Amino acid sequence: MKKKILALVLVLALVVSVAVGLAACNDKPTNKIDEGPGVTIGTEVNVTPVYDDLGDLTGKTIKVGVILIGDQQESYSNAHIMGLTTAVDNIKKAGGNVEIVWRYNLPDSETAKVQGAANELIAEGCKLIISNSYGHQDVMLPTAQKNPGLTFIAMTGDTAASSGQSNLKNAFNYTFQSRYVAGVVAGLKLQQLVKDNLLSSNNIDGNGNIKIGYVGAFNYAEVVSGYTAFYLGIKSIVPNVAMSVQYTNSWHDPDGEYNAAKSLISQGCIIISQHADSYGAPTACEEAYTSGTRVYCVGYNVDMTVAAPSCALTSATNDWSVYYTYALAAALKGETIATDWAHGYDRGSVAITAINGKLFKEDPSAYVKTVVEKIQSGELQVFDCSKFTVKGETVNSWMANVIPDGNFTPDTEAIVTEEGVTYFAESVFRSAPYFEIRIDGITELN
Amino acid sequence: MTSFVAWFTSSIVYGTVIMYGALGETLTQKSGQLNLGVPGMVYLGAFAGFAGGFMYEKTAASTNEFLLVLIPLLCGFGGGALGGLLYSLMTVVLKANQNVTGLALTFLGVGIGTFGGIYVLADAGFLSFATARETAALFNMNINAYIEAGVFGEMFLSYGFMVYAAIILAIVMFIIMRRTRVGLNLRAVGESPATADAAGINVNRYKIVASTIGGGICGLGGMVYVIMYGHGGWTTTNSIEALGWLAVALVIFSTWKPLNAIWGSYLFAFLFWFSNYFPTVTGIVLPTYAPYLLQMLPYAVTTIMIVLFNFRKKKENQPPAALGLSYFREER
Amino acid sequence: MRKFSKTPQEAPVSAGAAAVAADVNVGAKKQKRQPLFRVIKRGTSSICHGLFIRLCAIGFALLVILLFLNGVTGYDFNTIWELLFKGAFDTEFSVNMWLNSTVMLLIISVALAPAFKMKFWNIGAQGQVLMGALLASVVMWYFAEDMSYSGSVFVMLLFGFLAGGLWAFIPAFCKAKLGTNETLFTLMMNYIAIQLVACTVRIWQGGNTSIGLINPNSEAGWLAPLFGNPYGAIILIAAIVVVFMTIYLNRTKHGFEITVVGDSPNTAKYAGMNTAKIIMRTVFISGAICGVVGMLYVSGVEHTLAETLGGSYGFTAIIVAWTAKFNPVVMVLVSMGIAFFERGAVGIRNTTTQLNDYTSYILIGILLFFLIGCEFFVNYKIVPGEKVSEAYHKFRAKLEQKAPWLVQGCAWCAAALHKASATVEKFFTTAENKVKGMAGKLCRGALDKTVEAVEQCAFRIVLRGDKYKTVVYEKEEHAPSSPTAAEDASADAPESAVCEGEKEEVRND
Repeated sequence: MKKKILALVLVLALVVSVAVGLAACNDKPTNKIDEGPGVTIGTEVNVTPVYDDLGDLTGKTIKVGVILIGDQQESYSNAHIMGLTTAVDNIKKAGGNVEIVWRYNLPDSETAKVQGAANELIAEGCKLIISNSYGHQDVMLPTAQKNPGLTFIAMTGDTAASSGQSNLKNAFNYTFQSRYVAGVVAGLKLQQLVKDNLLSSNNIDGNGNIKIGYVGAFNYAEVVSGYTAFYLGIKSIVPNVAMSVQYTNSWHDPDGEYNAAKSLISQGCIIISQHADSYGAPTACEEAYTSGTRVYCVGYNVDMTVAAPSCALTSATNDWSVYYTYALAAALKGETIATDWAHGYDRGSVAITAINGKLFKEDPSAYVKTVVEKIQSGELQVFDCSKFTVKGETVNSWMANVIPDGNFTPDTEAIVTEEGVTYFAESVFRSAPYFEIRIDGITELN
Repeated sequence: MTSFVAWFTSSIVYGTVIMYGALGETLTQKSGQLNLGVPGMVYLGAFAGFAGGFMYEKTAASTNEFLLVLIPLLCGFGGGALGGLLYSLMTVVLKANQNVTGLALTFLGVGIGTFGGIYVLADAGFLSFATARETAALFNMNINAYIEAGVFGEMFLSYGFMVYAAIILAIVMFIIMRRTRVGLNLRAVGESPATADAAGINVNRYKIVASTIGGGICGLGGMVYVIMYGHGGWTTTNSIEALGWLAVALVIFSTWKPLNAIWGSYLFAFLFWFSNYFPTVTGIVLPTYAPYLLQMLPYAVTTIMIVLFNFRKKKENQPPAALGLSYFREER
Repeated sequence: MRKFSKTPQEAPVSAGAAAVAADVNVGAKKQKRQPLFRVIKRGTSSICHGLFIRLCAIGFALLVILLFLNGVTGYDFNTIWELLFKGAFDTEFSVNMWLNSTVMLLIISVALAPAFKMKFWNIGAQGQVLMGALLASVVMWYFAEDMSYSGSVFVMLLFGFLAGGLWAFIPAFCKAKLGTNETLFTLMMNYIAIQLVACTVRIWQGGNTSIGLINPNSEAGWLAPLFGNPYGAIILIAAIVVVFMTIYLNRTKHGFEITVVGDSPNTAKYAGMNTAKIIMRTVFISGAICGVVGMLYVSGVEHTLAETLGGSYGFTAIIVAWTAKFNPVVMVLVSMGIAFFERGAVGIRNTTTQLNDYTSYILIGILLFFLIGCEFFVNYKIVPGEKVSEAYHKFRAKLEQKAPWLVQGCAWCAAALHKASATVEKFFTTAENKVKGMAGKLCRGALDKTVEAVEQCAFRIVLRGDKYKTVVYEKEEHAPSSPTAAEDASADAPESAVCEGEKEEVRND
């Protein structure tokens, strides 16, 4: 008996010592990638949030109920929590007072709990109820119908305008703008790689296009809008790119996103971005990068440097405080909140996280700033129809499905021409995205 | 081709996690204890292993590489072993019902793991994600990084040592159970504790030790999931629990033989990620509901196997005869 | 000692035992150790004793829970208690959610009771609930809008019932006919069911991120509120199920068969019972009720389908059914307690960021562990071994010399406690007997007759549907017979009259 235990211990010790021996070796693995000294990012790329002028709110107070799909540990809900907290501070500075009642961890599918939470919040005297996930609309709409005196905001929802329910509101950001700018950052990095001839043959496909990958959640408008904008951002710098999209069918699936990214990397994609809330994709990029495969990642919602310190370029983020300041102040003052609110760089409600200077040889921030300013002024339209084609043809007209009727029937002409530029007016007719065009250069893998 | 390699390498590491869980549970079940608390023990080990490595990295002025490997190993094993010990004490000493205790352990283990994870996350200051980076780097250190052996190297040599340790563990378990006195006693305890007791084997001691060590091995699996598969990143998710149940299915699929668990675990992992890689490898697009049907396969196949084995009634493929039955000497 | 003994791989246990027996002499040579304590099984345990132990266990569990929450959140015990109560009972909606949780847990536990009593470990409750939910939602999705309210509810109930029953029947069939291990089989069926539901949800989702509510505008197939409570229908069904199961297990022939098969399958076989049929029938009923729970979730609570339906209640209910020892009253109490902690944890969670929803897992886990562990103290007695009792006697003698008043005081206290518990015990047993007697006198006749009548009717309907119809037709010409039976079972007068008549007819054949 003792001899067996001894044998076991010896075997384990052997295995551990091999590992330790490897670790003690100070030789670097032969395939480590050297990015060079890096640069300091000189220019502030983001736009300072432009809050509404609140006026004097002294003496006004309101109780607000918030229904969240996750909690502080979930990066998407955390962005909303931070936005709300900042908004409350802004209102305090103007003399008003907002009391928030939080309800966490209410997934869309558990409608009974969501309804119960909504009812509880109403019973506690909340005059404004906010929910942050698309699926919460199913509960918000009937509750709004039953409580005409209260206001309901279904963030990222799309039924407010078409339902005719005047006390139901929707809001979204021009997320596609920050995606475009993040794409520009990725494009600049790609440009440097092309210049220094650092791409491998695996990174270029049969048509001479450089491969990039995108891990999407679901194949519907919000995601399509996001990845198309990202693609167009890269394309504005490096024209010969081809993007592959893989869907995970979940908003938050670390393992699924990890494997989707891994699959894309193995096909030769050199830039990986995502529309999903977990750290799976950056983990896969970091793993590949430290084993010698050159790949860079662009994240979403939060700075992905914590998961991919060597290869995260930047992330596209939302600043919800701009909207929440507006909405809470309007509620305080008794004014009507807009049925569909959507803004982007014009109000500083979208941004990108700090560009990773270690990965660049020249400071890209000045150029990125000019792009942001052009978007802000309206000079540059992200979905400029002259920049993309569908099946080889330019698109001059597209009926988008703006009014949600469950059957996806197109109903609104979404392409407008302004000052000589023809573009797809995303998030204008409705706050939630409705760009569903599959443009050339993007392939959906599943 | 490279997509297939990515699929392969991902499956091997994912399969290793399942393998540890299955090996631990096989050991427990061979002694006649049906411990349904595998997800709980895997979760406990995952959290304990991660917390150990993370806290050490954070608090040590300069980290010793040997300790960076040893601490998560011990913590992971310890976390799972505590769960196994609690289970065995309840079922052997307090003579509680095994199914019920196992399920309660699942609750407790998942709760403690997630809950403790939040604490560590809060400590890290970044609430949705925390990583034990240096630990992960060491655990993922592999031969292929140094000798660059091409596709072969990537497929077979590019794993951290825990992957190979799992295979060695399976072989060691096989040898112990088949060719040593201790293993024979263990099997006797699982098949017929009354006979074993009559022959002078201390039934209770074997059960407790087997459950504890089995739980520890399950905990190692959890630790491997966080540190190797997740590269040291911890986030609140329920995929660890799903792994625990896959491990239980694998125990049955491998007919309680550790050697079968080796290829069985890789097969399960391969099937699990089938819908993720198949479209890119073959170009065939699968319908969106395909992943769920594919993830159902391990369980469906295991179920069919349960039925088939009872048809043919081959002795080697039967579960331990006294599985799930408590042994009380007084009631013999 | 050789390192690897060359025992053959497939050594039957007896040969192995014989080989080991050769080494028994080695064991015997070791010192014979005196056990410190001996564990003796109690013959009969008084109700009082059992109650006391269980209350102690709950008390300890509460203490640990409060300590845990205190350590984590820093609140003192009073605040924690307040928050727990607030979370569970503060608003009308909290109370409804609490009621809902209790009732769902209760129905599943009650469903599992017959299977467990038969020692068939039905771990597949979650899968059965999901299959019931799946089929009910299929009806709701495709057909409910074309049916009347009662029609759709009835069809959904039926399909839920059949789906859950079938899902449980498969492992039961294999166990009865092939002897497979039902624990593992039912466990695997769980995950197959989860994936089937996920697959269906995905197919229905189409291009959306979720299927949303089913029939949100027409509310077709949605259970309407009863008695003003949105979950009123569910509570009513729970009450019916509890009463039915109590009667079924304790008063019917089936219940008796279940008990016998559970205690000793061999006895059942020798008594001529068809064990296989009994197993399959009981487990079918068990799964069918779980399937009804699934239908209630879809139709009455969530109004949608998701693979997380029912949460972990399938597993929690197993523990509830086991700890309650199939006693419905205890099941109700335990379900209430667990639901209380679950809702209370949500209440605390909403006021502090240090917790999350998994806190309820820990709280319930602690409670369950204590409840499971205390069973030992109920069933077994710890008797000090010789060494310990010697030491104790020595210590007591010393104490008597030094402080006789202490020893006498303790002895007096012990005697008083003993007497008190004996009195309480007597009170409980006499009360129970009185109640049983009264209830028995009042109800037994009617109850037994009703049950028998219903059973006979069901039997006949199932076997000879046509004949039943013709009998009814013929019966309208005859005067209603057997007025005595019709009196007692007034609610079932038509059926019993008919059945009594038919019984006579059969006898005359």
